[in-house]
Amino acid sequence: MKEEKFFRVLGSFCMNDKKKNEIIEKCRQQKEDKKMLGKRKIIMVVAAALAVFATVGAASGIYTITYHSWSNEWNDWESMPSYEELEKKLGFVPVIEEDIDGFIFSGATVVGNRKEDESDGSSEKFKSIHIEYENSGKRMDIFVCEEKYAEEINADETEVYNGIELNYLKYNNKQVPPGYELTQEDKAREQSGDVVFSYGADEVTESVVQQVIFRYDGLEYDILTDDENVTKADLMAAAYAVIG
Amino acid sequence: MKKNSVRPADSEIERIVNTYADSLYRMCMVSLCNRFDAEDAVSETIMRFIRYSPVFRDKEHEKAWLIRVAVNICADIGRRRSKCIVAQPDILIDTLTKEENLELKHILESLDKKYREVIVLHYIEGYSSKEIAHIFKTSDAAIRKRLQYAREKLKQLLM
Repeated sequence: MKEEKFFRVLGSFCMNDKKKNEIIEKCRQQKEDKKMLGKRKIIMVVAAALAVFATVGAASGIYTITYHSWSNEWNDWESMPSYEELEKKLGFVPVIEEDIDGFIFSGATVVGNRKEDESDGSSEKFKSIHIEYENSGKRMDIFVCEEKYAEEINADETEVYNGIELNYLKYNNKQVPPGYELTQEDKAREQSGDVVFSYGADEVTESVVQQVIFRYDGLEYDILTDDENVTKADLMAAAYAVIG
Repeated sequence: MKKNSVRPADSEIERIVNTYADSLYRMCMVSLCNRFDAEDAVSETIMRFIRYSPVFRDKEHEKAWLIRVAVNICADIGRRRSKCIVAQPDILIDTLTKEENLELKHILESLDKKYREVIVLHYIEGYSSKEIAHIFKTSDAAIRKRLQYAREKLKQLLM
């Protein structure tokens, strides 16, 4: 084959219209499904002692990925950790600010996680970190893991800051004990996307959760609050502070 | 440029498919050398666009994002394929004879995937080495070197 023909053939590769229409249809369907299940997200059980939880993310209905996470009931750090400590205990070093617009670092804990992938039966352990912030009683948490372990992000709104996509989510979160069986009402609410369930709490509570999730320098930062006094602007400011 | 977009409208889905499906398909075809896998990779790329609803500075940013996602998906498919034996169709493109298809397949498979990808991005899609470097998150110099090797290897194969 001559060079000219080779490039002409490469340039002539195109997808047939039937296939394109199939993709459009599939995407429309996914968009509809997303309206129903878009809020099905992993969320941490904030301030839980020995938090053990599993949340299921059905990415496309083809297979299921389950996450189990646990941590000590005490903080690994009550004051700002050093670079070396983070590297040793965590294996990576996230950006940690001591003061984010009045939110002061109050502790950090290494979280153990296990990711089980139903598609190939694989199971993988990895570490992440839970960093706590407080501002006159208001609470905000930042969770960081390596990007390769990150979940899909189904954002309600997205904006770009210094080239980084910041994904904002807001949803009702019902925290329930392990083994809690969903009622008919729970199932209906979950199906409609009205609420996301998290397992591992001591008792049933419900709150509005806000998150800003972004990927930066190989890590995923998940800034989360269920404190009604913390605003979207507070979470965004924390993201800006991390990105610098 | 979209601001605070929530989710793409149906017309946006059609625009993305009609604007980028062919470019993505070319990229996935040279990466995977298999039309069915390439179609799946394009489909998954556009599905991720719908899922993530990313915000773009401009059309170039949008296209670069889609290509980067397609490259990653092709890598995943390639890894999965390496774990099991899958029958590979010989026909890559209907407009060529069976012999020409076999020759084309042989040429593509004789080139390393990273060379095939830069060839299609540079010579077919018209990306500069700098832009390709941005897509692959590597240096401009590395891509220029990769393009040079790709050209040399291709010349040997096309002789």
